[in-house]
Amino acid sequence: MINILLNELNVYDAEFLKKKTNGAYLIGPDELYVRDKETNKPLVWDSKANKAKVFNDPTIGDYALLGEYTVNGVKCHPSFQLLKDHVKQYTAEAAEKVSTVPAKTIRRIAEEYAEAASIGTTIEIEGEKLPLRPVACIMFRGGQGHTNSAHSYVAMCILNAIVGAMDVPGGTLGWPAYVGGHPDTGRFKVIPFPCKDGLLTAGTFMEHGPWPLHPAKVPEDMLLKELVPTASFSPHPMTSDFPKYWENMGHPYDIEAAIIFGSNMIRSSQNREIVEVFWKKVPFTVSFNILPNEFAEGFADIVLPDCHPLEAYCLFSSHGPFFNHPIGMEGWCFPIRQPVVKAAYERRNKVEALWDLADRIGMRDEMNNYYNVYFSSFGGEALISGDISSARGAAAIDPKKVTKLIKPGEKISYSEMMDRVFKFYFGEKNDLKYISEHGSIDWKKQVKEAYWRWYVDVRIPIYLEHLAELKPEIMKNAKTIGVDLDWEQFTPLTSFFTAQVAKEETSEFDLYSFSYRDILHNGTYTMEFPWLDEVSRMNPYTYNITMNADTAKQKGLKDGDLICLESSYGRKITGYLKTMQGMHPKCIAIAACSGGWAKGAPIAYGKGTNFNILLESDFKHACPVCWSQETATTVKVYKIDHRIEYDGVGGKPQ
Amino acid sequence: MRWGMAIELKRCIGCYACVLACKAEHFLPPNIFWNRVLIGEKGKYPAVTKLIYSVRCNHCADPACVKACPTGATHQREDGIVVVDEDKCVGCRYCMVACPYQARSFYEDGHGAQTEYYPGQGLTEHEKIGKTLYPHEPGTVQKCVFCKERIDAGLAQGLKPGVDRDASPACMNICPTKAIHFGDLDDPYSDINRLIKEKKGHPFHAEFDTQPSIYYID
Repeated sequence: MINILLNELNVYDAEFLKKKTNGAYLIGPDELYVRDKETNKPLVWDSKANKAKVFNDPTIGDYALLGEYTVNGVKCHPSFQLLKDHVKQYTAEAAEKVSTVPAKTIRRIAEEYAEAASIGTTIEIEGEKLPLRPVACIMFRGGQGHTNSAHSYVAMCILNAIVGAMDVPGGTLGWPAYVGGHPDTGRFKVIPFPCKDGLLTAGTFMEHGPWPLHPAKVPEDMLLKELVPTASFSPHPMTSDFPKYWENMGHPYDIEAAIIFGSNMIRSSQNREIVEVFWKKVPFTVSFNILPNEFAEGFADIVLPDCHPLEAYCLFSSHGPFFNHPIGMEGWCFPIRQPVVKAAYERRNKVEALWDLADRIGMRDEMNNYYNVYFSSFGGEALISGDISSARGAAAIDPKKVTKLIKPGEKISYSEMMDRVFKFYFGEKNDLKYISEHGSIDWKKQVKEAYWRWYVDVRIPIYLEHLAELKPEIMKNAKTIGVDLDWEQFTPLTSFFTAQVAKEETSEFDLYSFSYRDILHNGTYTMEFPWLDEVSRMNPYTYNITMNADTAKQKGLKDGDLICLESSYGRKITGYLKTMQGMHPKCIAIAACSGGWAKGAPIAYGKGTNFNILLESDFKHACPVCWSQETATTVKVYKIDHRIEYDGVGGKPQ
Repeated sequence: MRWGMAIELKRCIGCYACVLACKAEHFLPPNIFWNRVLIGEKGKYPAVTKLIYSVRCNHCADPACVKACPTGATHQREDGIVVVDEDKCVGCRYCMVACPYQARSFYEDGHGAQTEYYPGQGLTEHEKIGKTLYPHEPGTVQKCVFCKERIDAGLAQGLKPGVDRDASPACMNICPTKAIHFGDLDDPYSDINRLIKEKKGHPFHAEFDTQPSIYYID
């Protein structure tokens, strides 16, 4: 579609590309920005002055997006020109061969997209004149879950960027990225800002900040993340190839104890045998949990009963504005989760339990300071980049920037902490009592918050120069610990790479198997909720394996058959077949994260099929750039007489 | 006055929130549903349409169940809502056979029926509250009542069913896509009548000829 827009329809939002992306930045033959020798800033070509200038020079008459220039003695091009030329290879006909979507359909959608984008039109909202771009292109876990994740995602972003449909009316809004703060205090503030090379840095982020990039290093811990700074979440150390790299690194340490909060990674991440190899080596594991799930039963030495969400206050379920706060002009609304029943048995709020543990190991001061840094980060300056920054990282923050909501050594309850936080964010009158009675703190959203892109002087990359910059260092470091990645993907121009799953298709393993988010479930816990179980049984798809009806017929299969899916890695799962026409003939799918086997979760036991068992987990099955795991696998399918994945785990599945 | 419902099929995403809201509102026991979601498809790959129908008692103007009931337990209120008087119901289930929409359930407590949502672990707090607030009579037939308690209480407070949440059915309130509309079918100027007229609402299986009060909009 990018190719059709740029090279067949000649449709793009030049204004957006010039001022909101790095499309005008000049690229040299080394794939890197041509930089100003004095300031080291990227250069652009001013087509009015007919000379190169740094990208944010206020005297620029107009930015050149196309053409070839000679600057600093080298031939160079605006990155947009390179992108435009690069995508010519991706014709609709080529895409049809890969995707099976007819070229005619791809062209029709591209033409409709280009027309609907209404480039050049504006809209006035509350007196503010803004671009109107009523198209959006969104990708979530399905597209991201392959070894070509980063480039696929970037392509999708570029599709929005080239028509200027980012954070403007009608366009994709993503998560609320700009919160100007509560009108009474100016706090609970999150604002994106320009950083290295004028590119956007998020006001807050759930993981380590994506920009500016951390330097590439030889990794020192089990996550290995320092190896590839563009990676976000790491599948390591629970991968089948991790032990090899760990030994190559000299086996720096062993984990002596681990505390896990509510997760169920033996069921919800990759193949359970791979996960088991890691966890059975950890001598002491504590699980905070609301029920004895597969992880707790399999690995926890101690299970500390956490409160159910309906039994306790929770500040953090809705804290991050990037996640579930209103988008568009819908007003700001800060909710909390409140208890509706008393905590049963000996369940405790896990934060209060952690404070007790911190007292015993002398970490109360560090923990209090962590919370102070965390909350201060929403007080006007982003001090830490995300929810999971460490207490040690928080200790390195300049104390002058930190508001001490909790004093060193002070012992307070969770609700007292919430009360102080609300007063800090929203003023004295908007305390916990107020929010408990009113459900949320509400305030009006400004136009520049809802549609912030043109109000903040930030750019996003349509040319990933940093990949070219990082590549040599990552390659060098990877070699030292024996890691080999698909180095071709470290290219600045978004490209198509065949996903690992497609490389594994054979005449024997001929179907593509994947899991998908069922509308009734989230994670693994909801499977133990009997109301949801009732309606799941009512739903024809939730607990069944679905495949195209004609494909099933060709394979001699019919509705209700107990079938086995076997991957080329010899991994097998079973379940009951439900055929449908609304599925690609090459695919076979499983809903949600079902197929529970924990005896402590009897409602979920044996319901559905645990797709994750099929997955391989290693560097070969991860996107080399962002480390998303390959979440599809090729399988062969056949009838079977019993549910073999329950052999040896006890009980009798339904 | 005749209460009715209009359901926009293109808005319905098959999330079952209507089913679950009904469960919560009426403290329905295990395996009892006053509404359901029917899911299917028509066509052949790649031209396939997914079909999703949120169904419940149609509160027909000419209800077959009322005619079939030998004791008068099943009767129709003046506002068109068809209800079952548990004190008069003898559990013969003729009404279940007569209803062409299979919208009725027989409630058994004991006799092998599941009585707790967590079998063997006793009743949850919610189930205990339900035994007091909304007790169900074992051995009787149950069905959707259009949340008549909410309508009656709302009207007493001067609220308008279909507009004010506290006077409207739970399934309508919960619907995240606002696919379910509620109002007075006898009022030619009501929003629901306008919607049915403008968007050509039609009953589910009109050939059953019972004059349902629920309309579906394609």
